[in-house]
Amino acid sequence: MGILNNAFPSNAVTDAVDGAIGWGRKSSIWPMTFGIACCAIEMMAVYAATFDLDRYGAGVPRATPRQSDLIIVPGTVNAKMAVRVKRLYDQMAEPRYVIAMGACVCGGGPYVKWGYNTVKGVHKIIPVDIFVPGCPPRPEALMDGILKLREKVSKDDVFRRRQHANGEMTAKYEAV
Amino acid sequence: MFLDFHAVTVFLITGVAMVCTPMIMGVLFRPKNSYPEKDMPYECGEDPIGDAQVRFDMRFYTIALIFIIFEVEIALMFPWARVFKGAENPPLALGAGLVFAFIVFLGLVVDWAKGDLNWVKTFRNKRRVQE
Repeated sequence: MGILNNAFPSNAVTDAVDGAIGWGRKSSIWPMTFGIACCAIEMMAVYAATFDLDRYGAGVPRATPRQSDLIIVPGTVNAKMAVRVKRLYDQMAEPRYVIAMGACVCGGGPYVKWGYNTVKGVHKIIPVDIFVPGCPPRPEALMDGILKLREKVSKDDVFRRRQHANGEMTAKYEAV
Repeated sequence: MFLDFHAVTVFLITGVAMVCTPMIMGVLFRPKNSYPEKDMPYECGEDPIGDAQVRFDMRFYTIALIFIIFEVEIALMFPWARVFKGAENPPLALGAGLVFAFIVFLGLVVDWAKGDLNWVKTFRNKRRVQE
């Protein structure tokens, strides 16, 4: 299945169609209901009325990874939680995106030297698209991360298969 | 006669197409990447314990039916209070409400007398008596 996914070369028609699809996809990002530590409080504030993430179409967290496109990792990932984070990421359907929120998730934060049980950056277990630094980040910072992710999603390839600046072709999804 | 229903036919075809087209488009364009971790049940990242289809005790059924007694009582108390608001004969209104509540409460009394409110003990005792 998915025989038409990334099946066409990049030309004017497929670029236009992918632009339209990207506009739709970036306006309907479904994040997953997922909070680990103190950054989750800021993430909840972003979902709530004051900051209102819903105006970007990303304000309704889904309760299952099957329905979500985005996993925001908000808070310290320790060794015990890392297994769960990896599994939750694995259970999401492609295409899936990751926002690393907070200093701990971006690279260890205050635990970088003495935190024997902290994963020094969630990028060591799952591929991260957007890093949002801060301890914890202001809600505006997370919203900036969402806006950056929107830019990235809107440039994704659905129909077309093209050569990127680093010489690689659009990556097909393969079983891990 | 068939042509009289052409509007219905158009409606049906449009409805079926509106459902089928996005599903077929999705099948054609979505990436399919299946592996065991993704196919396992979602238990918030934990290892799933046991089977999804478990048996429930039949005695929950009795408890649920008893709950209906209270539910009916509360649900019908609201219209009673609304209807008899500012009634000419308040004692009669109160009496009517109490009679209704008593009739519904009799059901609970019957269950109580039969021992349905007890979870385990009554069943064991009855079984011993029958044996």
